[in-house]
Amino acid sequence: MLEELLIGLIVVTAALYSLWYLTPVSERLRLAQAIAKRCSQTRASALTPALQRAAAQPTGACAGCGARGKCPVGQSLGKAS
Amino acid sequence: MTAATLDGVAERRIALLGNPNCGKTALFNLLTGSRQKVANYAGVTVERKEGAATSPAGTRYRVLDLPGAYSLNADSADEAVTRDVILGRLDGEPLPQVLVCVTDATNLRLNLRLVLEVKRLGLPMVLALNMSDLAKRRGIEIDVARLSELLGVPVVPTVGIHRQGADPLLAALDALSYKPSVPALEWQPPTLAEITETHRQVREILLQTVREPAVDTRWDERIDAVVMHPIAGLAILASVLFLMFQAVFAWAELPMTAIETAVSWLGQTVSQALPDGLLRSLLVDGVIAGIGSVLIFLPQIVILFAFILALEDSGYLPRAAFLLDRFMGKVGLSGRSFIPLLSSFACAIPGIMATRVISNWRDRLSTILIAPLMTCSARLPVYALLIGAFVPKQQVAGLFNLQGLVLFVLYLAGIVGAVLVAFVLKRTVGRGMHHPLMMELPTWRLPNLRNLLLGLLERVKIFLHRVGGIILALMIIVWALSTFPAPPPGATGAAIDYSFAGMLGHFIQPLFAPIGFGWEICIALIPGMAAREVAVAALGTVYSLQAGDDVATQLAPLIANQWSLATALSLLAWYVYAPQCLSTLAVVKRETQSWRYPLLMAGYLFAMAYLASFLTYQIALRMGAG
Repeated sequence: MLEELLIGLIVVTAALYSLWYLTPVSERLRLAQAIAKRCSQTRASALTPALQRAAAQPTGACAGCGARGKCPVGQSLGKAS
Repeated sequence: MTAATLDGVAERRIALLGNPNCGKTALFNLLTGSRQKVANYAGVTVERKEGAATSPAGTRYRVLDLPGAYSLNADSADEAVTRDVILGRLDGEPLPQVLVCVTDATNLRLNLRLVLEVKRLGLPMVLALNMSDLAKRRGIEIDVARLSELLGVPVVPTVGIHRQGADPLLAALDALSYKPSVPALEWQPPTLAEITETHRQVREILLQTVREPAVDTRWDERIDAVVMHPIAGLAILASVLFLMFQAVFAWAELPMTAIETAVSWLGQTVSQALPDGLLRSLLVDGVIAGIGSVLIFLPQIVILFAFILALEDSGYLPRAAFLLDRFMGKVGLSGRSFIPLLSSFACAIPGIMATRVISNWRDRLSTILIAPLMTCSARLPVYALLIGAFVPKQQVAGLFNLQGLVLFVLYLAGIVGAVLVAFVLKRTVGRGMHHPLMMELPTWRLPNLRNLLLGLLERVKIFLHRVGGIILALMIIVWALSTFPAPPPGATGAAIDYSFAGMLGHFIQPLFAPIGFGWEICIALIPGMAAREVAVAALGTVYSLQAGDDVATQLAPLIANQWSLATALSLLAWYVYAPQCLSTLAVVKRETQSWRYPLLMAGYLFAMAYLASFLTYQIALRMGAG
């Protein structure tokens, strides 16, 4: 029973993470703002800045390296005219 | 305005700006300890980046790294970012208190025009003579004190790639007085008379401050004469790429075997440590089989990127762009398209973002639409798995590695597909007049080992982040879908046949039957939409549940036994063309501000992939590869 509960928890966490990862940043930020608004008067409000920071992290292919300029070959632009 | 920080200590706000390829990002990395991408050609930064620096005296700075610009009179989207930030026109972006105008000390003639233009804005400014070590080595003498006197701003020599190279700059910044707030600036595009006057001033300043060696002894022209020769240059380019793909297979064997052994040991250890049950199945069949089958391709990805980074840092890539400019013009692409397309070999997303430097909309759209046809690094595990399984390890003509040759052909197939699509777009969407490519060629240099290692380290981190994040999560979901529901009592088939994944695989398989895909491949294609290499991990999990333990290291021989050669070739053809990555489509939507183009892209790529796979499969069957 405990094993099945643990498996269920792992699978649900993986599903939520995948959903979060594959949702566009704009939608995630909107969701984070909605949660922040709802939690503003509760003790959970301490967690909302962290949630908003996490929502703003680009993911997507290459872990969003393109958007963050972190990919080693990522923003290989030709400044030409 | 002085920015207040969380701990209450004030920070001074400075911005680095300058011509493309003058070393701003290298200097930014040195100041902030950041690891932003650095390359030996122009235009690496397209969006402003921010970091924190502390001077030896303890003063804290908030540093902005702005995209390179030749003038404030912006010609492209990235130049406009620079102009808007330093004029205070960008919403939510306070005006910098001090501008650090970074110049290439070996090419002041070009760089001083922007310096004079920026100086007229009236903001406090420091001039950084970057690459001053290189200038000295080339015998270029700069009278720093006189230059400072003529410009009326502090001038400091800097070396962006040396550990202490930014210290003089920080000392000069410490010595400046900072106004608490700066109002937004007024600026008008320069008139022709003003431009002429600026050129005159540059000539005058250079005359008084710079002495260059009388005889040019640089090797650059001599190397360029060979490397950019219309025939020899193309042969060199083909040889370089060929060597790269050979190395991907030839050099990766030892580290891949080491990873394989480690994954196999881990699988066996976990199998022995846990009792038979769901948790053991999740860990062994789901996590270790799935993740392990992707992880073993890390050495090949590292080798591929080591080549690309070394070529970038040496200054070869912009020359390759020039070499191909005429050809690209003929098929309907702008010369500016080359480097965005090259970026797409790493990942289509930064490649598509890089098209912002293309000012003509039709040229930009064509480049965006063909960018996913460049083989991104996420496809490498799929190619490597299938090549490893079906192409024998043998030499061709006693010299070439057959597996590397096949990989080269797959990359080439993507490029040929892109050329054909660009040609069709030229005939249908049309394009503006062909503008010959004009680009500042960097000097040749030996790749900087630090830049190379930092780039590779970043690439490894990105790969491991993906493996430990989205790939792991998707593998757990694939395992759950392949395990539940359990087979009914008395069932005779394999348990996975009764699972959700099995049902889904069998449901969509008829659609893919004409191209030779079995239901296991159909299952793998679905999570592969999130990230292409997940398809390999999904195959690992599906076959692990079907065949038993230790599939992570035995996936290649297993599929070699179960699939026909025609199916493997068909899947390779599918992966050359199909738009497996949803993030790419999302970025196309963002960049084009319309759903029309991502849908058009997805439609034509699926059609092309299906057609290519169908032809490959049917031809292979008729040739007896069934």
